[in-house]
Amino acid sequence: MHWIGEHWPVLASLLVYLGLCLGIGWYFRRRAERGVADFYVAGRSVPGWVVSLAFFSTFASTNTYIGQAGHAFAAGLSWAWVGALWTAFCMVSWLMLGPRLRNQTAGLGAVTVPDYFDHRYQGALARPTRVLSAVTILFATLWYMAGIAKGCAHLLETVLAVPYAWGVVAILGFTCLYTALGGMYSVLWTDAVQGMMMLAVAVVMAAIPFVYAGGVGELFDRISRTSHLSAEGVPIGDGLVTFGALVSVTSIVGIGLSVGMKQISEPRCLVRFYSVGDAAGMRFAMVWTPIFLGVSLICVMGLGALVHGMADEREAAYLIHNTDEVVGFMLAKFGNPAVTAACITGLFAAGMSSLASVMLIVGTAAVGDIASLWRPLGAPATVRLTRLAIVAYSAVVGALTLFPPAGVVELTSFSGAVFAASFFPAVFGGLYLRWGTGHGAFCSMLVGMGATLAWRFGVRFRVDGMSDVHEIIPAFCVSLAVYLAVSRLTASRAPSEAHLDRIFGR
Amino acid sequence: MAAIVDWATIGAYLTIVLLVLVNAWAVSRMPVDVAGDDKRSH
Repeated sequence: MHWIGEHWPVLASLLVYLGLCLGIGWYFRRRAERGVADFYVAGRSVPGWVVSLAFFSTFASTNTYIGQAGHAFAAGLSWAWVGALWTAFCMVSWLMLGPRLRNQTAGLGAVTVPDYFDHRYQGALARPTRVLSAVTILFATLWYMAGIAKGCAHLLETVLAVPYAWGVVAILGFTCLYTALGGMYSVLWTDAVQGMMMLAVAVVMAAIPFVYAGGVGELFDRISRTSHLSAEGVPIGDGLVTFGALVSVTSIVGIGLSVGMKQISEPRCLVRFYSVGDAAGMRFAMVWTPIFLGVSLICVMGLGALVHGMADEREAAYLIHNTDEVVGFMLAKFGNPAVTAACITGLFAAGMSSLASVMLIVGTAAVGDIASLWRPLGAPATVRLTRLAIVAYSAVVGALTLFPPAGVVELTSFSGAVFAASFFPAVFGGLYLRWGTGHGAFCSMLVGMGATLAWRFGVRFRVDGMSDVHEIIPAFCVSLAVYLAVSRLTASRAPSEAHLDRIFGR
Repeated sequence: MAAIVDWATIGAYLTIVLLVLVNAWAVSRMPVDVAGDDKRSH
């Protein structure tokens, strides 16, 4: 009882939120069972504003709201440039990929990203490309989900004193339940609710340091001449408000590209386009998704730098080496139970929206792109098995999260680079280049993965001066070059003109 | 605030605002079609 009395605002807020998510999953459970297209892509009939908010909330996660926001404590306001790069990639994604991917996948009857590769490229290597991309999804997603679940469980432990293992089971269990019940319908509609909460929380979090300091001028006076020390032990002085004083440009570009490019390559983002219902909805999403993301990033990407205005020297000396704890520190120092409850719920929403999206993606990859090739399945069996796959994969992630290997968070960022280097050329070439071939897609995928691994483990931390050059940059360039070269060399293996006419028009 | 924060840093925030405005303008000038929807959005 004492525990409930102490934590009731956060508990009440979380219970209302979780009840809403489970209610949405229950509401859509029957509709999701009507067929594979319903469970996998919500019947391609979802309003644009829902898909728009879902794209934003899927891309932004606890990594953004806790990790990146906190990183600005060490990097200063310059870190906001990472947000500018992410916003640019959001625009590119919706302008260049959104409408084309929606239309081509509808024409081809594709319901996952791997089966788009298969239907689009046809030929000898189209199906191996589908299986390779599905296996990549199953492997790379494991680390991403474990990283998010770990962050949320630590948050529960810090805020509600819930044991870490219980937190892992709760976060994965609830998310798995509503995802398996309602498929893409419940993922998109819960994502939309979570997106609205995340927008509101971003604005509230950005306001906290200003309210605490007593105004805009007062806060900027404090952070522009701070006596706090940097991570290297040097006085920061005006470094928080001076571009490049605390962080290198290559580091900003590396994180800006490796995370921002997820929006043009990761299946959890790309599959959002499949579900847009009509042209007006597509236009709404093209305009508003970068706005939703841009507003939230303006609020959170420099947040850590502002928190210097709330910390004394002893606190700052600790936080500069533990930037993941900056947001929690800010909420505790502000000390308003209602604000804390709202923000904690919003942070959970940020984590669960990304978790649910990837849970569905791994389920559809395992069953729709691997199992159904091995043994053809009817629609009811496909939906049933996909639900089982989601539960089974979540259990594996749970076990991994309970005993996380060292560096799981670093592996999360690495898995993003794998997707960008291996998926983007095949997606972009498939959408725009009539002469792109399955051979080009398959080879670029293999080379992209190989180059990512080689740079990360062979060059980046072994060669002087290369540690800030993220693997995404060389791997992406090599993979794209291989796609173009191999497609040109294997032009005779391109699909028939009739097939290409169906995709591109005459 | 501009006197305290250097312009290269403020530029990040201004760039985000500029990007979303340019994006909204660009989308407003392009036709958008969605397969299965007879109404083209202008």
